[in-house]
Amino acid sequence: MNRNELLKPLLPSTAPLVITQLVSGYEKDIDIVKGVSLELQPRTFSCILGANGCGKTTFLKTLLGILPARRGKVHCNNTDILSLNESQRAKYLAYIPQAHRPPFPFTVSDVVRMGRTPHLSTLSRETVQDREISEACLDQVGLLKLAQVPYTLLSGGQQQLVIIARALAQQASFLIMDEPISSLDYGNQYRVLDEIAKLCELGLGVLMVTHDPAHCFHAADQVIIMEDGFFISAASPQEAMTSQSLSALYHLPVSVQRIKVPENRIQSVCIPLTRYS
Amino acid sequence: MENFSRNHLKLIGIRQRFFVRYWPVLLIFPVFFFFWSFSLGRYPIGYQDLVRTVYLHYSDPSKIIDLNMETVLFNIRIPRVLVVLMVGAGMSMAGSAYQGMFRNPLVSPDILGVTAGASFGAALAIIQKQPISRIQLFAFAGGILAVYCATRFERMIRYDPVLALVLGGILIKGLFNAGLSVVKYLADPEQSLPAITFWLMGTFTDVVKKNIPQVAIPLIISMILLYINRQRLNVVSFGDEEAKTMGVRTKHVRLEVIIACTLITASSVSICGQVGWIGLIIPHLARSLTGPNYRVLLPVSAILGSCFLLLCDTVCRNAFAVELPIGILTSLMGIPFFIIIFKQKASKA
Repeated sequence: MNRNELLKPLLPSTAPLVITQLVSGYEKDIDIVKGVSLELQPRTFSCILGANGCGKTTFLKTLLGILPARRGKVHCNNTDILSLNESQRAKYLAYIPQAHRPPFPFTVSDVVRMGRTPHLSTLSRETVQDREISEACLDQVGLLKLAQVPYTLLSGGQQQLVIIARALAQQASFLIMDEPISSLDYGNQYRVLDEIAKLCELGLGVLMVTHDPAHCFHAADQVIIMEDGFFISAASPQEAMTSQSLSALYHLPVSVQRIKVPENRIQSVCIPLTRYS
Repeated sequence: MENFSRNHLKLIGIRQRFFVRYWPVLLIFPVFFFFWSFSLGRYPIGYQDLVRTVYLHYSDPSKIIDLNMETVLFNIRIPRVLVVLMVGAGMSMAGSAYQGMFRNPLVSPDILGVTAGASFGAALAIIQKQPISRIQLFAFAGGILAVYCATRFERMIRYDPVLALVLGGILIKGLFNAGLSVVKYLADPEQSLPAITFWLMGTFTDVVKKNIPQVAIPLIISMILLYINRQRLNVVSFGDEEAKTMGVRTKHVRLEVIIACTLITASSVSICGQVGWIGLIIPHLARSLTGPNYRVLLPVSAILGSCFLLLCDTVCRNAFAVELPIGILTSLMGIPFFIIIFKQKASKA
């Protein structure tokens, strides 16, 4: 099998993930996510923007089955995702958390191979194919030569790339990410973001929570704006992220400007206006 | 992104890569220690006599000249050595499994209160002047009961079941230790109290032939159960939520690991009393040799643990005129050893 075959998601990657009227929360009688609907297409990079505490992380946790949904449905290709067990769900959705340090110094290749867990039998025997897939995923993010290095010795950016390779090895159709690049330095943020954007070309759908409008302008195909448990818009970055909508979202005067960048492209930037008012 | 020169890469874990691939080489050590420990004792047996007696025992028992030697070998020394090897292996595997599950390298197998429960059970049996087999049964039951109670707290802290287990363990340990104090206070100071105190220090003196299945069956089942969960243990050490999204049913894994580790620790403690530190130190030593991947870490922990405990037990039997309680020795030898490992790690970093 060639490398691109190994990297492709296992399940039909043409079907969208359809979320309808999802409700969830932690405390009894208090809903945090208050009925949200969304369609995630494969080959599409979607970003969620929202103020702190608006329910972004709760929404992701519900989608991933970490938190039970109170109402609502999540479907993909006629499969009810919410009723699946952990290992079945892991074949649809893979998760990339915020950067963190694990307590033990696993090697990079060990970490990537953990992505194969949902595909292993009850007795957890790894096959040659499992190893090949893990290797191809590590190569995709460009870290194959660090395979034997302890994961804990890598830089933050490299660690996130390893986690992305792990999620790829899971061969899920959709990648769900919770601020995967917030804690990285400026260079690493965009290097990792570009790697994520490349994955869309392989046929994966990406859903990423971020706090930086620049990330959305840089890579997103679709931007979802979340406020107080609701999605108030889901559109292309140019439509969803205007001066008015972002000022209202963050309660801060901002201006979205379109500027010319080299190669005659037009790029939008978001500039806070607090110092000038 | 190029933080690693070629040399640096080569140096990192060259030893680890050796052991990851060739760890079965380490199996020489338990075999060596087995024969070494075997020949030593208050009734010394030369290697020649040893081989001859073992051979004749199975081929033609009527030709055995020294019947005493046969009794010593087959009823006392072999059972003891075998039980020590199994307990050492089991406690170390349980320790390394728990350290991953609790995501904390300072956790030992009695974090959920097995030892406290077992000590309380044993003390109860001792003040009632029960025979040794009944003491073992009480200790085993006490250990299981303590862990069962500790796991009941899972719902106390919502959304962090691992923290809830730690808290449950602390509470139950406190409770059973208080119970132990009550029993000690009420115990007859001439006979029962010293018996309890000696039991708490731990010893393999009372091990006889019929103890073998009693230790072997639960230990072997539990060890297999842990080994089956090796990959899931790797994943669980990244945290509960992340593990769930990687397709691991964390609740099942936790349950299976707790059952396995509790069976191991309860059956060990019921036979030999408190043997501290081994479940904490050996996983560290093993991890420094092989890295944290449970596929290799579990068997290597078992091998090193069995050797370490057999070494301690052999010293206990032979070093002094009176037999030393093994719990004292595992601490006396283990803790300096632990400090050395940590110092080495610190100087490397």
